[in-house]
Parts: sequence; structure tokens; C-alpha cells
Amino acid sequence: MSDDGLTALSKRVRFLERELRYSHEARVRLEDLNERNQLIRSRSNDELNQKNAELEAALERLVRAQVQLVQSEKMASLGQLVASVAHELNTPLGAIRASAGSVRDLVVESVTRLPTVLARLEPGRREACNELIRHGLASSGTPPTSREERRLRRQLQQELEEAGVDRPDDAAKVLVELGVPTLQPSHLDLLRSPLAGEILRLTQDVVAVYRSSENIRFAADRAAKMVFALKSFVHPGGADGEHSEGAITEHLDTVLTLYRAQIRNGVELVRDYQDDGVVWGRHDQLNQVWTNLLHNALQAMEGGGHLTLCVRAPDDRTVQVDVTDSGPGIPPAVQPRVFEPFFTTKAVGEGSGLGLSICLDIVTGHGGSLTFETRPGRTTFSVVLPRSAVGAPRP
Amino acid sequence: MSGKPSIVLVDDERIIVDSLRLQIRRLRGELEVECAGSVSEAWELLEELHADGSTVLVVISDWLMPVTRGDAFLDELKSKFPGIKRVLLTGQADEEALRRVRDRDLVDLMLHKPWSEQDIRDVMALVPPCDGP
Repeated sequence: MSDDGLTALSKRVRFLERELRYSHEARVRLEDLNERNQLIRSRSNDELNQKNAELEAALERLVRAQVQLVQSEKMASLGQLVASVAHELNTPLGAIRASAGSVRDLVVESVTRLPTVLARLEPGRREACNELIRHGLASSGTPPTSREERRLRRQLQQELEEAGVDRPDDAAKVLVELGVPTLQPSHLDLLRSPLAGEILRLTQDVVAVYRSSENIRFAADRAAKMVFALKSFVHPGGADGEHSEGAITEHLDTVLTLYRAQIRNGVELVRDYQDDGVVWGRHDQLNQVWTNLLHNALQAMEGGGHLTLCVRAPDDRTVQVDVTDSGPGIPPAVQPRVFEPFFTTKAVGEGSGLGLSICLDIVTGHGGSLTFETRPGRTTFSVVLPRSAVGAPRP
Repeated sequence: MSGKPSIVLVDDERIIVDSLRLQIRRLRGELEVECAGSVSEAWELLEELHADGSTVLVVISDWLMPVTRGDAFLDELKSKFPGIKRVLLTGQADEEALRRVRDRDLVDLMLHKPWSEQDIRDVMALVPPCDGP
């Protein structure tokens, strides 16, 4: 090889060496860059992930807070329900307890005394006494008003006085209680007996036993009706949280039964049911709507007024429920905010401001609408529902 | 009408009036028990008994009645007939409202549904025993 050839070769080698070095350095730099790039990428991924997790947690907290608020709204209306139901159960329970005590004592007294007194009576008077007891058992009791009762008593007392009966006031009182409208000669004869006082007391006691038992039965029926209403309020369509076919009128009546204590106080109720209002939907949720609208209406009429519940079918595919109260109306400034969540005109602790907003959610969830019309003396909330809720699972 | 001292019951619930009336009659036979189904009827009754010269010892009124509530009625009774003992019968668990009644010294006794026989004895203890005929 010539010198020239060698020189050229060594040049070439040096060049290649340099190239190799450069390319190695470049590779190292590239690897380094790559590494750094990866580091940056993974780090930003981590940060993104972290931010994402934080946001998700925040959203979860919000959802949980909303569920809690809806739940607390439910608990608040449950509180009102419990107060109303407690009152409506305590009333028949009071009557049952008192009447049961009376029956126990009166039975003991009258069962032992009655045969003895009857045995001492002349046969004719004994028959008159039996007839008086039978009369008392058949009659419906004291007159409906104390006014009427006192009028009858005065009238009988006068007649008894004229007939020369001893202690006419006491006799008149018992006779009115037994439901004797006019005096028969047999009554007068019986009342002239020396045993008259004893007989009247016994007759009164025997009849009181009977009427107390009737009172207990009536009171127990009322309590049972209340418990039934409570059950159908909570499970209106059988299983929880399921769609079912149900008549809105029936559910409205259930709500009215449960809130009887509140409705009685000076509120005149009109049930204008022109249609059964059978719809397919979540009746447990719809019950919440009826309860809320009813409660608001009653609250708007502190001290009394007119409450009208109208159920009708504007066409064969929809049902409309109107709840109308005779309260002062919703002020114009308040009207646009009525369905706004957390908006309330009630005192702190009296309302969460979620009631109507939840109602709106429930009704729109059923593919329906919730609107209102208001002026002083007349406010109507209207719920329009399709007979078959949109998107609802149907068997 | 009969000149006997009386106790007046005011309640629109027939089952309450009937059971309470019998219970009182059994415990205190010497007293007359008069009943009114509403506050307006109660006023009528009280005026009539007053005109008859009959003494009303106690008025037992239900809290929750149509038109006028029991506490408002007893408030008016306090000013019109201060000598009559006032008892409020209630099935309500509304503590706040009950506290207001107590604070205003509106009633001599509060009777909670469902009441016991001892509760009625306590009401009767407000009235000194009278010599029955």
C-alpha cells in the first residue's frame, strides 16, 4: 500500500472513530433525553392521576352530601308524619284504656247486683226494667250534641216532675243516656218503685259496659286503619323501589289518613276525584310528592281554610293532580325561586328548601310536569303525569 | 239544671268524650259531667250552666279541635272564668308548643293521651270532695 493510501486510510479511521464517538455520544444523549422524557411523562401522569383522584373524591363527597340532604329532607317529613301518627294512635289508645278500665269495674258491680235487684222487683216492673236495658243496648247512645242532650233532659225532667217521680233530674239524665225519647206508662211505674234509684244505676251500668265495648271496638278499628295507612304509605306498590301500577286517589287518601291530625284543625277538605288516577310509576316517590304538596298547602293556611284535592284525566294518556289551598299566595318575588334547591321562606329548622326541588325531580323523572298558579286566597300546584312513565321498566 | 257541681269536657272526638265521661262518673259519682263537641258549644254550655247557677269546677279540653285550638280556648276561659280549673288533653308530641302552654301558666294540669286512671285521679284531686246526695 502506498503512503498516500495509508494516510488516506488512517484519516478514514480517525474519521470513523470520530463518527463513532459522536454517534455514541449522541446515543447516550438520546438515551438520556429519552430517560428524562419518560421521567417527565410518568411524573405528569402521576400528577394527572392524583388530580383525577382528588376530583373523583370531591364528586363522590358531593353526591354523598346530596344523598344525605335528600335523606334529611325525608327524615324531616318522617318527623312530621310520626308526630301526626302518634296523635292519631294516642287518641284511640286513650279511649281504649279508659273504656277497658270502666268495663272491668262495671262488670263486677253489675253482674253481682243485677240478679238481686231484679229478684226483688214485681214481675211487671221486672219486665219494664229488662225492656229499658234492651232499649239502652239498641240505642246509639247520648245525642250527638250536648245542646240536644240538655234539651231532651229538661223536657223529660219536666214530665217526670209532673208525674211525681222522685229525683226527676237523675232519672231524666239516665233516660236520655239510654235513648228513651218519650215516657211510657211502664217507665213511670218502674220509676215509682222504691228501688227506682238502684234500677236506674244498674241499667246505666249495664248499658255502659256494652257501649264501652263498642267504643273499644271502634277505637281499635281506627288505630288499625292508621297502621294500615302507614304500611301502604311506605310500601305503596309492594316491593321497595319498584315501579307498580297504582291509583293516585288511593295513595292521596292514605296520606290524608296519616295527616288527619293536621287537617282537622280548621281545614275544610274537598276531595274532587273525577278519575282514579291510575299510573305506572314509583308510588313510594310519588307519595313523597303528595305529602310535600299537602304539607305546604296546610302550612300556607295556618289556622284554617279550604284544601281541595282534584284528580282528573285531561286525556286518556295523562293524569292531573291539583292541590289547591286558600292561603295568602306566593309573593311575586318568591315565585321564580320556588323550585330552586335550598330556597326556603320557612324559619330555620322548619324546612330545608329541598322539598319542592325534590318533588320536581321525582315528577320529571316520571316524565311529568310540576307547575303552580298563585294569587292571594288561591294557590294551586299541578302535577301532570303520563299514565305510563317514560323509560320505566314495564313487565 | 240539677244544681250539682260539674266538670265540662270539650272534645270533638266522640270516643274520647264517652270514655272520659264514664271514667269520671265512676270515680266521682257526685259530679255532673257535661260534654261539648266544640269550643263554640262549650261557651254556650258554660253560659247556660252559669245562668242556671251551677258551679263548673273543671274544664278538660282537647288540644286539637277544628276552628279553635284547646290552648286558645283555655286562655280565654282563664280570663272569663278564672275560678275554673283548666286541664288540657293532648296527644301531641310537640314539646315546643307544650312548653309555651306551661310558660303562660295556662293550665292547672296537662293530660297526655293515652291517659291512665291515675291521671284522672290527679285531675279529680284538683277538686275538693263534695258531699254528694
